[in-house]
Amino acid sequence: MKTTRREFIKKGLVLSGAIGAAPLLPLAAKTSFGSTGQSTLAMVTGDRAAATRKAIQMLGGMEAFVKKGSRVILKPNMSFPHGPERATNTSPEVVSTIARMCMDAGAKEVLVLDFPFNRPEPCLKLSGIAEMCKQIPNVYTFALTEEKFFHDIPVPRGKVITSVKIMKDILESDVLISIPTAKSHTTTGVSLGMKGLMGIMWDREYFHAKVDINQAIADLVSAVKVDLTVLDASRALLNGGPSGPGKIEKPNTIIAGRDLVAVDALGVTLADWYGQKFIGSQVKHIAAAHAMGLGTMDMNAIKILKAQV
Amino acid sequence: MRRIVQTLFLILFTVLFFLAADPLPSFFPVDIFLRFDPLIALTTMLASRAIHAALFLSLVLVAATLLFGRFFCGWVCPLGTLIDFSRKIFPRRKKLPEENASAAQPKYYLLLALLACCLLGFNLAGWFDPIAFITRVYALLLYPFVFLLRNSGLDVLRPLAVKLQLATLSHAQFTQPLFYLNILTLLIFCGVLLLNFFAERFWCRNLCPLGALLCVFSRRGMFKRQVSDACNRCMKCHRECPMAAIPKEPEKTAAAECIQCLHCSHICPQSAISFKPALFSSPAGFTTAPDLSRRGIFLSLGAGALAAASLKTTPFTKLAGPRLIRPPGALPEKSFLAQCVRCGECMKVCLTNTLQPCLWESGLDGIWSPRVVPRRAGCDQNCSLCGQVCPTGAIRALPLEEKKSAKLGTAVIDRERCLVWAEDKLCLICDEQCPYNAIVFKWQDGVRRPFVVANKCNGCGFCEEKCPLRGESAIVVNPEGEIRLAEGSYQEAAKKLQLEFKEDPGSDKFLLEEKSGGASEREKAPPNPEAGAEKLPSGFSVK
Repeated sequence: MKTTRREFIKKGLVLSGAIGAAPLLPLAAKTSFGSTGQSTLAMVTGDRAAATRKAIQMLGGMEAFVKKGSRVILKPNMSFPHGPERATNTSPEVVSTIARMCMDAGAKEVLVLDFPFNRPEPCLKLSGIAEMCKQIPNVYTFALTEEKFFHDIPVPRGKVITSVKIMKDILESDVLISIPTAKSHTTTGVSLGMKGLMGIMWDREYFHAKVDINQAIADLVSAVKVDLTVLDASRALLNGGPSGPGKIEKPNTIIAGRDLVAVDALGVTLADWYGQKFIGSQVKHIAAAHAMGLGTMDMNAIKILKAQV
Repeated sequence: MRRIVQTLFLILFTVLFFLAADPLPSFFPVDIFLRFDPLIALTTMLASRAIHAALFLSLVLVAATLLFGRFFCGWVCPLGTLIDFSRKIFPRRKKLPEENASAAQPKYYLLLALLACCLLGFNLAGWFDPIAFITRVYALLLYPFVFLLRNSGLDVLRPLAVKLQLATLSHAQFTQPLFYLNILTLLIFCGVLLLNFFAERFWCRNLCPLGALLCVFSRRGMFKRQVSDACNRCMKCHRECPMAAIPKEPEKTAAAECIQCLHCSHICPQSAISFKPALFSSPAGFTTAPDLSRRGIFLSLGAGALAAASLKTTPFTKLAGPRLIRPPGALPEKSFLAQCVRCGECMKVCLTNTLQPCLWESGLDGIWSPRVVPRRAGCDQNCSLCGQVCPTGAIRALPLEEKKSAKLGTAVIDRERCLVWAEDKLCLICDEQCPYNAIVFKWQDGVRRPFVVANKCNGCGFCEEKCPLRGESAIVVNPEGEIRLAEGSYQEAAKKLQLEFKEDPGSDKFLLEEKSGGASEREKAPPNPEAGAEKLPSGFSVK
């Protein structure tokens, strides 16, 4: 199914309208929109940089997300001191493509942030992300590992958490784009857009140790507004995740969308995790987010725009 | 002139200290001061009963001392310089008592006691050696203070940086190094400086064992203090000599004590004092030998022997530190302690700050020797800096490939405390952290539980560091299984023990096959109608 750009812009406008009409919650600016209406996703196969560009264009172009002069936060996976071949971090090409598109759309500044598990320097270096993004003016890559860079926010709709400490930069920015890599996860099954968001919070151990992590992830999503999620499934770590090593497959696919629950629901169908096929409703944290109305995992409610580059 | 030279050497010492970081400079050994130290060389070789080629550099200082006297103390020694400089800041007694160099010679006795102790296999020289001491002070105090200052400065600038939208500055941050024993080290350091209260360079004249050793060679030094007939016995030099090396007969000099600072020649109102080359002749009235009593010599040798004997006969040393993990490449414990000079260079250079000074963990004589504290941080698998900077080879300088086989210990899971074992929680952090893939999950009682594969565990300790429990970790590295080699290849040793330390074995650790005999009956998964489903992460619901 090929579609012209004009049609996409039209669709993008319709979608923007839908978002505007969506009932806004008390913490409107900081909260994900509800799953009213149809979620549109762009799914593009091919070269990862080109596919990323195409997918975002299909959603109306970066201009639909990034206004002139805005401050943008990109949140890739760069938590492991591994090279791209291990598929534990987001592909540097995908991150730098998005950073460039943000700058082209008139962003004032783009910060590429993650809170890595390991010593930050090798994570930034080996992931290749810092190196690639350095070449773009006003794009900065930082690993934030000190509590002073995090700030507590309430989670009014949370079921198992009432507050969460997230990166201050996100609170002080205009746009948040999540760029997860597709991988398996020993606890949550898969680590896609929603699970990847745990990289913006300070006390991850609390999620693992004290509460039902699947619900906690959904609670976190309910408190943070993610403007765009671009799932890097150019390759997927099918098992052994999140740290690997494990079996790596190449779905060669980029999925982009505003509804991160939908992105994850589609993303989970791209590969066989642990040798098995799954749908979104079989992943507890995706189902939990759906149940909270943070997005939809119902494939019938998701409109998928497909393309190949 | 001397102040300038002292300052330059202090700067050199400080610069070299801070250069001991990743990546190490290839052009110059950063531990050069320690290698020039003949006391370290002598005691290390005595105690370890081995020749260490790298330490022969100290012969340069011995030769220079033979030629020029004890100039090292007055012109080079960073501790001496700090003692000199701090004299202006710290309080001191107004009227100094009349002193005679020959009166108090505890440093010789201390040196003899240390050597006796070394002969019997216990090396305590690092506690007193000035270079090891000042390096330790730098590592445990100055180094973290510098980071504190940098970070505080950044914190002060941060609001401004945010306002000016300087992204790099507003996010700049240095990981703060932290050290145990810093307060004890600080107290001792301040104590050494405060001794100036009693007399100028109190430490140098009375206590420094390196000074005492240099005295042995300094007497025949080429530049000797000579007093001309112009001397009117005003006694100014006698009063002001920082080393009390000028007796009441000011034309005489205690040659061993003289540090060639030239102070007397500068202050002499008659300009009667000069330091001229006098190769082999002793000028008139030149006292040489330090006045050691025979009784004192025997007493100090006896004290050293007694110290060694008590260290040998206390169970403390042997039983202390059931969790003592030494740095990768550390020699077998006895040799390690005999060679380690407690300089702290390894702790300074450690990438993750896991290396910490021991208090009691390695016995009485192990104070300030380095240990891995995994709860603080893991040992980075791609770093072998500690061995590269160790001046005495107590930690071997290993290539990375060798280092990765230098197993530090083995992690053990405390099932009473582990969240998964004790509370059926879904924690996986130890597995996520393990760089060697040594943690696997097996199904037991319907929950996937973590197990340590001992022959894959390198003992690096990242699991222990990151275990989310408060207080003690539920997965703890024990020295069991550590590989400590005096020589030879760690890779081969590991191979013989059938260990495999691979960062990327490429196997699927989650779907670990239960090998026959690998798991007991109790540990086997209960029969399950939905074959395979049991082996999936609990984040999936497949019903």
